[in-house]
Amino acid sequence: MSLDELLDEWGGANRLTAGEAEAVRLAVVTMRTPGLDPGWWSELMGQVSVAVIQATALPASARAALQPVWTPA
Amino acid sequence: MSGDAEHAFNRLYEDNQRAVHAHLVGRCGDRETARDLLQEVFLRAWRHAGAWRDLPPDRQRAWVFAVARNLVIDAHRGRATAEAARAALEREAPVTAPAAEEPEARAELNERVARLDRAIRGLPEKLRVVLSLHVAGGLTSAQVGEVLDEPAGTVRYQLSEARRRLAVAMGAEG
Repeated sequence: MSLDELLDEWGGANRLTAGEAEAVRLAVVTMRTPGLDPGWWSELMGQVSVAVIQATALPASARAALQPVWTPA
Repeated sequence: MSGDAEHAFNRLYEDNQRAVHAHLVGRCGDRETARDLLQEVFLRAWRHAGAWRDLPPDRQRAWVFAVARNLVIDAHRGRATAEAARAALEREAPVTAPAAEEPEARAELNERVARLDRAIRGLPEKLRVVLSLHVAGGLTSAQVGEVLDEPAGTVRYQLSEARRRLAVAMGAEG
C-alpha cells in the first residue's frame, strides 16, 4: 500500500462520521437562544415568590401600603 | 433563532465543519479534542450570526477559521487543555482504519495506519496542519493557502515536505 493510500486511510479515520457531525450540529442549535441570561428563570421565580408572600402573609393594611399611589386625573 | 437563521447556520456548518475539524486535528493532534473545539467554534457562529451572515461564502469560511485559530490559542493558554493536547500527541495512536474484509488484512492495515499516525504526530505543527487540511479536510493546496493565509506554492512545498518526512519515518520504522 502506497503512502498516499495510507494517508487516505488516516484521513478517513480522523474525519468525523456523519453521526458525530450531526451530533455536534444538534448540540449547537439546541443551545439557549442568545439574549436569555442564564439567571432569568431564578430571577423570575424570585419575583413571583415575593408577590405570593406579599399576597398571603401580609395583613391587608400592609399590602395596601405596598401598592403604588394612584391619583385620579 | 428564526428558521432562516438556522438554515444559514446549517449551510455554514455543512460547508465548513469538515475542514475546520481537520484544521483542529492538525493543531491538537487528537480528533476528540478537535471535535470539542469544533462544537465551540460553531457555537460562537450560532451566537454571533450577525458577524458572518451577510458575508460571501469565502469570507464566511475565513471568519470561521479565524474563530478556530483564536480558540486554539485560548485553549493552549489554558494549561489543562494544553496538557491534554500534549498528552494526546504523545500517547499511542488510537487511530484505526476502517475495517478491511479479512481480519489479518485489517490488523495489518490498522498497524500501518497507527504507525503513520505516530509519524504525523511527530511532524512540526505547521506541516501537520497543512497535511490534515489537505488529507482529512479535503481542501486543495489553493484552499489550504486561503484559510492559512499562505501562498498555494508554499502549501504545495509543505505538503511535499510532510510526505517526504513521513516516507522516511515509515521506512525507518518498518
